[in-house]
Amino acid sequence: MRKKSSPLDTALVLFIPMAIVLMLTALWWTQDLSPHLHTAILLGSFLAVMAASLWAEVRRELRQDEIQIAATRFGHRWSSGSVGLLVVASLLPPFQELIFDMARSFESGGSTRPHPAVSMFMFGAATAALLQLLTASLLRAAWLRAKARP
Amino acid sequence: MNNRIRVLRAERGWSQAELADRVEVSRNSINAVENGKFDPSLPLAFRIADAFGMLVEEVFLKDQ
Repeated sequence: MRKKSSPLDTALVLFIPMAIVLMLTALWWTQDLSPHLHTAILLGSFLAVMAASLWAEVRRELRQDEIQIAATRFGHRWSSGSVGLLVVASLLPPFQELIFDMARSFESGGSTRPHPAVSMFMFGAATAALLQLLTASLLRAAWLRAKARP
Repeated sequence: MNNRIRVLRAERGWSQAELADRVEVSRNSINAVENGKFDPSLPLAFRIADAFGMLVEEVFLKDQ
């Protein structure tokens, strides 16, 4: 059964972008502090944003009715293919050259930057996660539109 | 699964949104069920039938 959104849901939706802005601001202001403190602030604020996002997502899913749940499931089921596509693409020479160029650009940073391999791994993981989320969202919208078009 | 939702709505002068509010689902759900593109769960089928004051088998008909 569909439930109305509560003030807590609205607060969560507002909190997430505010927390991201606060996180970036805190990172800027604490970059001259010790690396351990800087990392702790980064990790803590990142976990706070992740926890709030997950909580908001779970509450949003609880408010969905059955066709919206079916659309979400459809999106999640088929979006894993986009990550597989990324893996297959990484085996092709043009994409390998692109990855190589990106690795070289990561190497050009100063000594304070993370190791290029770490940067590349983080970039790849973030790209795969974003691609899957985007594909899931697009597939969900397409499925819902196909089913509920008059 | 066929259904008589469109006819029953028209008899009562209800829009899809009005029926959706009565059974507490989105208008998209009513649209998809009404057009036979989505088979509702049993609880939703009962709620739709209840909204019309009818039995579930009077609203939903099995495919011939």
